[in-house]
Amino acid sequence: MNIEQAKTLASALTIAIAQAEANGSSQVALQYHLQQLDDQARAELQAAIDAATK
Amino acid sequence: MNAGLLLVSLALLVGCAAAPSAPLQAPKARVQLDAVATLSVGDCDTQTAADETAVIVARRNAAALVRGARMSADTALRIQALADTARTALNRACRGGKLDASAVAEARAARAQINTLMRSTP
Repeated sequence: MNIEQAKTLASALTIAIAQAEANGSSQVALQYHLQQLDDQARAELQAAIDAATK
Repeated sequence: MNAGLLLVSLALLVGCAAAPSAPLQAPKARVQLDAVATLSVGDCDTQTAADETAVIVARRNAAALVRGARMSADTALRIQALADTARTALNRACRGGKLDASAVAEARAARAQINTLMRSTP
């Protein structure tokens, strides 16, 4: 795992932990938050592609 | 020792030798199964986390390269499609809490193709 991937994972974990604590849950929804980040990254790449093909 | 006392003694010995009733064992077994199931779900998420973050970073890097005119839109479209394939496979990988090795292999094959495309970019 490179640094960029580690930072992304850390970001997802931070959000997931904060949400679990806010909900009083002992379970961390890591996969859900990683999927949210992937949705954002997908939209970012699509926007770049659309701009390049105009 | 009289017969009555002997009978009572025998009855007590038989009672002590009886196997414990099922309800005493069942709750412990259920707690152990719940703990294992919870641990298994956590392990699967953890095992696929590295692959998921790699897909996210690949999309972000491709977006930066396209914006910097260092990657063609065609190549970026191929990366987007491969990342979608990896993502679909990873979504499948932890269903039921048990790691699906074939789904992970499919995701990694897509990632390998993404890496090849990224390396071909000047």
